[in-house]
Amino acid sequence: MNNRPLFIPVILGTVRKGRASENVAKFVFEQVKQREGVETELIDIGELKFPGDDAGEQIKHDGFSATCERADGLVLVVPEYNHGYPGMLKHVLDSNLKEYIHKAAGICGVSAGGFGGTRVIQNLLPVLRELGLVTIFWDGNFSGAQNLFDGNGKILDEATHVKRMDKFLGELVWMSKVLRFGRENISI
Amino acid sequence: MSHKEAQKMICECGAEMNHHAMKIDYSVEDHQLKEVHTCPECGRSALRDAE
Repeated sequence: MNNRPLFIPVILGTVRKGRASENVAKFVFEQVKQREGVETELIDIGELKFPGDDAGEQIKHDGFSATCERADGLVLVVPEYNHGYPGMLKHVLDSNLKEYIHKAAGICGVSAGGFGGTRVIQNLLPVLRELGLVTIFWDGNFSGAQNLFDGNGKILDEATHVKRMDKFLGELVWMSKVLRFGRENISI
Repeated sequence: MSHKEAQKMICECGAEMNHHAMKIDYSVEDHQLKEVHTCPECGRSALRDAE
């Protein structure tokens, strides 16, 4: 297997002003950064400035596409809006095709209520599958997002969430390694 | 050597790429079937029309 470090960026999947998911994405990003043998970066889809007058590969963003192509796995931090995923996240994800295929993906759901974004996770899974991503079966669940962090953006119940993220990232890293081996070595 | 292995795609970095998936490209009018290839050296991916 190639000795390049795994590259697993974290995508903050909302552009909404005042988004509670931003603190979650930063927390998750810090957890990924601490993983040995893993490189990461935090991608804020709001900073990508995708146009709204076209869709799909026609509006490919060179930087975002290059990041996804380099990636071995993705972490998607996604708020639940009306039980669904933000439309802008779908708009951004749809801009790539080959860049995702046979790469690992894990979802961190974020919600104001008590279900930790489980409904948005379930809604997003078939989209990721069609994009060619391979989803893990551990999720990140962040309930009551508006009360999860202090005024400085520090997570309040750190021990619990660090433990959960450890399991989540453990599987994501495993899947990323396995899929990289497959992409590089196993032909259909 | 199989027919497919005889037609390995070559990456920009010079390495032989590995064919690991088929993907329908819905962005074109006739929904073209593509082969997906990945470079074992640099990780670059590439598509080509399936035969």
